Amino acid sequence: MVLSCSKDKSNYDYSENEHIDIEGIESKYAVISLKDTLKISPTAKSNKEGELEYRWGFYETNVQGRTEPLDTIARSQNLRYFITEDAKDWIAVCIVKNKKTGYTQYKTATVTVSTQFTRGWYVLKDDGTNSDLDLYLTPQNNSVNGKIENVYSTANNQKIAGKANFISFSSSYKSNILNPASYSNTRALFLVTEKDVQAINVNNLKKIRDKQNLFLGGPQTISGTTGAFVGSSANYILNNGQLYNIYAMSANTGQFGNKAMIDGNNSAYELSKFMISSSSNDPILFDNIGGNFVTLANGSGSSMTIFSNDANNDFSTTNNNQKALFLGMKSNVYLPTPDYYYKTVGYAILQDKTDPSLKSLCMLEKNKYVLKIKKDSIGPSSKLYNASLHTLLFEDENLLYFVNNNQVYSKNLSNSFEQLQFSAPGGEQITFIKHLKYLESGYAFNFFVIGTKIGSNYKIRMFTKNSGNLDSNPAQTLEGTGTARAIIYIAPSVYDSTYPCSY
Amino acid sequence: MKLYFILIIFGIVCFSFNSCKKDQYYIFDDIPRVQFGPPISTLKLNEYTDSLKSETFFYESKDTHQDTVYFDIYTVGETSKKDRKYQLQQLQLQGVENAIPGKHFIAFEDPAVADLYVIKSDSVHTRVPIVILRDGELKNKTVNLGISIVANANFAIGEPTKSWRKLQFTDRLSQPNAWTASYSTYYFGAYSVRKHEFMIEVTGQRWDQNFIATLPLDQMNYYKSVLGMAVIDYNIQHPSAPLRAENGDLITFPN
Repeated sequence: MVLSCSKDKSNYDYSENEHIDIEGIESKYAVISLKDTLKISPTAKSNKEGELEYRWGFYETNVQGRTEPLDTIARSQNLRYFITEDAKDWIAVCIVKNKKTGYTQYKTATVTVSTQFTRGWYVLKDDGTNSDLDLYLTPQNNSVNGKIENVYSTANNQKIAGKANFISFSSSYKSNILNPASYSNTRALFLVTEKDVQAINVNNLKKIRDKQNLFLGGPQTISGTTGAFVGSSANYILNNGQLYNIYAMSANTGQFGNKAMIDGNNSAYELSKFMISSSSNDPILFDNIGGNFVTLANGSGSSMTIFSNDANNDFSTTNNNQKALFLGMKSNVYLPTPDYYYKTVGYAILQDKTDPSLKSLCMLEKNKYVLKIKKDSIGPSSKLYNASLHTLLFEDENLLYFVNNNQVYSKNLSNSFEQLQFSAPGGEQITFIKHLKYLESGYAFNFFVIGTKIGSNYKIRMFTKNSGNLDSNPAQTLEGTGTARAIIYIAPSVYDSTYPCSY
Repeated sequence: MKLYFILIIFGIVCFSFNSCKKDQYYIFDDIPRVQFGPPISTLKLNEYTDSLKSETFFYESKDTHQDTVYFDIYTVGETSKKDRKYQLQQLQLQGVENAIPGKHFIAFEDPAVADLYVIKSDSVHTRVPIVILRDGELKNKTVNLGISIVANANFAIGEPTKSWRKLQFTDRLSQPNAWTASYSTYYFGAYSVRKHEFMIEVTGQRWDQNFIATLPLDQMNYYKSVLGMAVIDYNIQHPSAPLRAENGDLITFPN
């Protein structure tokens, strides 16, 4: 009662709230580490009286496994900051404070830090015995302007043993190269040959781990079917047809665990080299011994899961007596409420083990752990019947591309129409095909890539396409020594989610 | 209204006088004391440490007849320019088999070890050696040794909760303290001596307290997978005699 009777002497201020406008800061900057100075000259104005003071902070994004401190890098209005940070996206923040009122406003900008190694086309190649990387620089846009040949061996003083197989990228791989006491996300390339699997640091191309220390339990012999790819919450390696994983959401040292079992009886299995995988979904893999479509649920656990059958499957997901000639990803689409999962569509080309003349093209639709399989037989008259290399146009036109007799064909997956797209010139032998697209503004591309071998050299033609058909001339051609087996485009904005992991 | 404000002001004044009291400095003027504590290496991380240690001769060669387990002890009070002896005695523990001096361990007053229980001059810490003996009956049993500090001419007893330690030892495999209930649930399942032996056979690791307590998470998962696979393979190779624990239960590892 006593309190409620007190006189209202409140002094409400109805004047306009203070706001500080900060101008002259772009939303994005691109700089090269150890070469560029980040220069920003902002102006700030307050609608209230008082002197403004400036402070600049810098912090990194995509941090896992440690805290992200905000480093104060300047206390002046104009920023002149020599970049020494690692190649990735960082945030620069300008904090402006009215010293009189204490009111503070801030504005951020994304600073994309590169090194000379962090942007360009990486070509994994071999000389028949050992493998290496060529880097084609793309400093201004997606056009190649400059080349660093044998960049892996230049950085590591030796080549990678074995003929080249596959290349992939992970931004969630853990290493302690930044801080020996802490394992954190490291942007890494995985180089896969027939004799080694290596994780290398994209910033400087130095080897992080190889077969000597990539696995818990000691060095491993790399042989048979090999591969390295990213799945949802996990990094995977294939060695000798066996699956090894790191559950990336848990503390780890970047070493792969024990091989996964295929069932509770630890039955023998041998995975094909093909994977349909992405950072948003568990992989689809195929066991050539048992004829099983399998995955590793949630990227963890000791045992793989054999997919369940859809009621109308043309092929069983298990014991189907098939061998995989190809698996590839067509699309990966998030289904909102009430589903809340990514529906992955892919295709498989399977060959009957009892009667190898029976081949089929199967559409796969992954709904969590159910795999829908719709089969079309491939007749001997089809160019696809004797094809050797395959790839799908990811998300684009409904076409499967393949190589038959050193010629690239497309097959329309809606009406089965096959069309010749490219004939390798005399003396050239096609070594790989791949559809790659990338969306970063200023560097975006959508290429169909054909690698060929001419003697001891390679050519990689990058075609744009029109309604799914290759343009008559490549947009650009890369040429180097050795046999090119795989290619990937790397940039500071490339993350786990940028490309599907698939042939 | 006026009364209300007067009361508040009076309260504030009283409170202010009270808060202006000069801070009391506490200077140690107690007698020297001694108490157990954690190893020096973890002193800054955790003042408290497990009061129980386990040891087994299981991993040692047949030629090993005795072993030494160390606890850590600290003085409270000023240092001394002279070496100072402290005194220990066996504490009889209830409900367990107590170790017998001369048979399972060397008694603290035995001349062979009595001079070891000393805080050196200018020191506040030392390691307390407990010499345990590999008696033949330890192949079949675990014995327990309670150790407590006894006040003597040099030291009184420090904090009561830090005045004792306990040691379990045996010559067979035993469940390490780090193999907790959650360890069973998430990694290696129910403990049995046979399972423990099998883990050692398969991995070549000791799987003792130190190994388990310091095993990183990714290696834990790695071994879980290796061992789960090894049990399956064992049972396939021995279809009529699958791997069982002492109590007859089938041995399994969580997936």
